[in-house]
Amino acid sequence: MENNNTFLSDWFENKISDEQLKQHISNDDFLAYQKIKNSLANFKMEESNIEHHYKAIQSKIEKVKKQKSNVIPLWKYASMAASILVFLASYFYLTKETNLETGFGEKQTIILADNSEVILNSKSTLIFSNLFRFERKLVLEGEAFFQVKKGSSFVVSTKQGTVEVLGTKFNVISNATDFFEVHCYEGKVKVTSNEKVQILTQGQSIRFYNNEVENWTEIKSKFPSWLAFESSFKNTPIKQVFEKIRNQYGVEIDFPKAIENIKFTGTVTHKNINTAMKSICIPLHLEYTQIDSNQIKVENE
Amino acid sequence: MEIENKNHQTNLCEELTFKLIFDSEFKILRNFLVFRYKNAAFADDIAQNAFVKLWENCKLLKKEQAKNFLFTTAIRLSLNQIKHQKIVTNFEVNFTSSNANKETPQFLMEENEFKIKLEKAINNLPDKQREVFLMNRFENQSYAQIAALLDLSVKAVEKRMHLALLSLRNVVENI
Repeated sequence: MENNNTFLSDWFENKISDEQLKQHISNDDFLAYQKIKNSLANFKMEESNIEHHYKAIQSKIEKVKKQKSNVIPLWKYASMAASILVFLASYFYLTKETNLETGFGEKQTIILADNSEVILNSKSTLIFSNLFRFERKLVLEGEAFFQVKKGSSFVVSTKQGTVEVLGTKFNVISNATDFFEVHCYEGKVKVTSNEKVQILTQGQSIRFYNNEVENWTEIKSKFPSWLAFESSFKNTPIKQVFEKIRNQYGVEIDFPKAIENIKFTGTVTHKNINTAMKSICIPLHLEYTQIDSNQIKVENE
Repeated sequence: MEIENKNHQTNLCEELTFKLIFDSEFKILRNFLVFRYKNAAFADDIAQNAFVKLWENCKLLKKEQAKNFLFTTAIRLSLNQIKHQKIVTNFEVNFTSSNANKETPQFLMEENEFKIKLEKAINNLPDKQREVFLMNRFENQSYAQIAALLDLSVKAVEKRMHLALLSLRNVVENI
């Protein structure tokens, strides 16, 4: 008998009749089971408030919805923060400037991103941004020689004016106050100062000093003399000459104001200060005395 | 026509369908959890959460799968919760008797006494027997339906019922 072991549950589900059940159990047992069955029929579960549960489910669903919609913005914030970081990093990188400065008697050669070459003379400052490859623009104070690769316009701005070129070699001198000199060694450059525009071709020079403009031509040299550790002057005010000496040797030169506009023409070495001072003072009938290693006094003879 | 039918029968995400399932399945699910864990608050919470999970998965499920999904989810949720905190069985399944009042006071008193004894015996049944027994008696689930919900064979359900009845037999001392 396969169903033997579950005759009670069969009877409970009315699968077998009372008589069939009685074959398995005693009469007492049968009456007991019948009593249980009848009592259970009168039992009822306590009902719980169904509507209350539905409302609870709905509010839980709302909470889940909110959590979900909160997760997305958080992820968005993260990506926003990341992009701001990238933006700031690139902003700082791109707008960062390179600032080069030479000391007394120092020279520095710089190869720019476009392979143009700049040789910076002593006591000079050159500033250019990391965006140089996109906009060829430099700021110069002091003296520098430029060998510019051909390409889009190349601009050197100084306090006294700007020099604009397409591809050439030229020398620029510009001090902090009043002196601005450009010499073109190759190609063509456009010099602008105080709204005056001048185009220089090979060998031409221009000088702005004391509201005076001076032009001259000298073809023989291929590069500025200072690259060969000399300074060449042509009709240069003595004040400017002494400033060069100061920049090369790091000495202060005292001279009477009366002589500051005397012009000097000649070449002065960067290697020996005594030779240099002699080559300036003897032709101009000036006398110099070295007070100490940092100071030289110049007087009229 | 077929397409129309499909639209009608599925989409659990629609509130109307969802409410329909709630009305037909919530009480039985909740009571099953009461039978099994003997903790009403716990059962309420788990049953509600199972419905939340049903809603979260409403796009993936068909209406016919809802009932099984609810029971499976509820059991899984219960096990997860029990793992974290031992639930206290602070609840006894209580019943109200709807006996007609045509009997004598003597009979009613005996009847009531018997009812209390029977209740106690049911509460003390092993969990597996109790949940099957009560599902059958109070939720009118056939053995086959219970077997499907709990992923058991019908034979196993019948066996549990049989054992439950055997131990309830002791409540009746003398007739």
